[in-house]
Amino acid sequence: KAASSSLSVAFRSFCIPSGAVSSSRFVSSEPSKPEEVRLAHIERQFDAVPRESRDKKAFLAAIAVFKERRSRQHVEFINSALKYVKEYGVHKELDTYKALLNIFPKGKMIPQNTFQRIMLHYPQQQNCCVKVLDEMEWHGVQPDKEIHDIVVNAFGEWNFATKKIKRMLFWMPKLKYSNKYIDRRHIEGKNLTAAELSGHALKMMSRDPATTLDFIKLSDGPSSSSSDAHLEDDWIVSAQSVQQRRIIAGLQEGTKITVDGPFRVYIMEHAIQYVKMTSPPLEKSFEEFEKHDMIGREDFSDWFSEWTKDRSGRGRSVQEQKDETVLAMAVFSNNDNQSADKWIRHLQKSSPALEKMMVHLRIDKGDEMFNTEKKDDTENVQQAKTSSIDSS
Amino acid sequence: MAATAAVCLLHSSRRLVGAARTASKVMRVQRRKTSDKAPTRTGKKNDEVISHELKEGETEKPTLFGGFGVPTNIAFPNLKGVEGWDDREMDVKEVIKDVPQIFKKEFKKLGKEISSIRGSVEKTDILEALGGLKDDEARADYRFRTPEEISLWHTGCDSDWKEGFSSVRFDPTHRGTAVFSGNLSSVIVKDGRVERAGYATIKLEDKAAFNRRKYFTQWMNYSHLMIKCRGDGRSYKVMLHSPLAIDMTWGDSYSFPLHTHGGPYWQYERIPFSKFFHTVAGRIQDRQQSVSLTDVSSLSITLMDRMDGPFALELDWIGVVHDRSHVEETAYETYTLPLWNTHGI
Repeated sequence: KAASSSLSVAFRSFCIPSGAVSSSRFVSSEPSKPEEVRLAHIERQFDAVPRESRDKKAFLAAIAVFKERRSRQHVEFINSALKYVKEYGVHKELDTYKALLNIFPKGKMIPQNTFQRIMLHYPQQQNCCVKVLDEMEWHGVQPDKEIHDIVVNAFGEWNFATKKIKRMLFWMPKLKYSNKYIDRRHIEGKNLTAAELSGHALKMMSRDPATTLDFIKLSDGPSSSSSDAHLEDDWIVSAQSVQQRRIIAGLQEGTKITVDGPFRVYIMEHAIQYVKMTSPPLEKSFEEFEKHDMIGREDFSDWFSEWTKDRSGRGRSVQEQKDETVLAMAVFSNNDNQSADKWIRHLQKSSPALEKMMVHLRIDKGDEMFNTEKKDDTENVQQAKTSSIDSS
Repeated sequence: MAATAAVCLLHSSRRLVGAARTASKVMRVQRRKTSDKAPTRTGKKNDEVISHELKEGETEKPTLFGGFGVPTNIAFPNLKGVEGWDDREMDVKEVIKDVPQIFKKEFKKLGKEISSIRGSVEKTDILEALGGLKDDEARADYRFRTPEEISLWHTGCDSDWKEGFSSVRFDPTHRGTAVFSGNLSSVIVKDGRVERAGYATIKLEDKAAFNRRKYFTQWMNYSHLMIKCRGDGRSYKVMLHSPLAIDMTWGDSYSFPLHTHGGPYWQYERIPFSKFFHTVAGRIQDRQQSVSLTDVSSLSITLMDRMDGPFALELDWIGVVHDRSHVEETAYETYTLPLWNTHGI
């Protein structure tokens, strides 16, 4: 309450005093008055608010102040307000757009006869409404029935602007959940910590449904000052499945295993950097397609043995890719070889066979997604220390 | 800005006042080779100037082939729908000079095409054409192993048309795949015309001889489009372009998002053809119809997910797969509205 009253006091110096001529050009009848009323651009209402207090409350208060004072110039105000929607951090909230569209008078702009229905009735206002809805669509804010009713009450059931909101209401829900790799409800609109986001990202990337995520807190000992404690964010989120552990157990002694990274992945609008642990491909041949000529199709001479063979044969697991076999994935809070070393130590607890492998850590290479050239193996390779070093 | 405006003005005035100029004494005729508004392509300059000094008493005579000062508009069709694309001027002499070279190349292509007409009598091919496909039967038609295969794909982004600041590239890798990467930027160019920015795309331009279209008739009986790719978690958009015959339908396409899960695992993304929705110039239409692959002549993958930042999508192959259990014809409503209805505008 106090905030809104202080804001209304701030606005008074920029708005026209009530009872004056309703236009922004105001000529003072008393030039000797100490407080001069100047020509003020509508955007000053939003600019005047200091940056720290630019939030949803301030924005809605500005709209409320406009509504109670002015009966005209909705379009200019809304267009100015749209420019500040992102600055005030309210661009992803439905209430913002509802408040903006509620500024339009209800019933006045609904076409009454055929000519008004044919021609774009109140074109400036309709275009302004479409701009607001465009901004809403651009930021991915899903509309609901209330905002549809606001637009219908302002412009009529089958008008240009209402068609826009009707189309949004038809198409946006259809495509909202088309991404089957993430559950948006867990991620959007929630203040997730970096570790939680990393967990979601690893879950999205892991194609084996039996992947388990581990959160490993790395503490480097007590920090000197308590103020640094919250900055010391040292953790690893590791993702590995039973199948991957079995593959590691079955690897030959001395197999070259590389820890590569960091690579970039986006989960909704957040970018996460992850690392992967891979080994060379297990099988030499990698066939995606079966032979499909006529002879193969209609040759039924071995039908029984083929049928029995397929039943007992081991299919290729999803970890076995054409150029590499993925053994584990992780997200580090600090992308360096020391974290990778600690991660390997952690993985060794469940896969003791890792100790016998040649693990190459290549974290410090920098962010390069899908390196087009083959990475030089001999450059800056740091071998993971074996169990002779004590774990920290 | 003023200089360019002056040049543009010069162009238009020349077209209108052709006859009146014969009397005036023009010392030097200068003309830009291409219009200011025409976008610059890599390696081509936009500001080549053709000039000719007039002798005393000489007037500009219009000649049949390549007269100076005579504007020749060879009427490029404005396929990309961009202002200034068809505003190019070229001497007819130059066009005729290039003709034998172009024709030689195209006739060669035509010869190859005729010799490889699919009149196959193989049982598999006949069954494929008639629709007798087995479950999980697939074909990977577009691969990215050789430079010729990669050169079929053209890149485009908003900075090509000076409408934004994104960057795009399409490079081969040592694995026999290709990476569609770049940086998306939603920073708006302050020219008063652009309102939103930020897109990057690669488009298949596989044309037959003499720039004739090739249609995806071989994919007619398959149920799903399959793309083997490795993305970065961003949502791309696959578009099947069917420009058809008239300019009103040049923007016709069928789109669907290509969501990627990122990570080191390859993704076999299957999108049923019934799920593609009808778009025109990227805008979803009110009246929906399902895609008919006999009209589709091109395929593109776009990124315009409104997020700034670098992106990368590695493509191994693009093809089709048939799923016999997929009986859906179209995922969207196909009822027709009565005559006097509101779907007009």
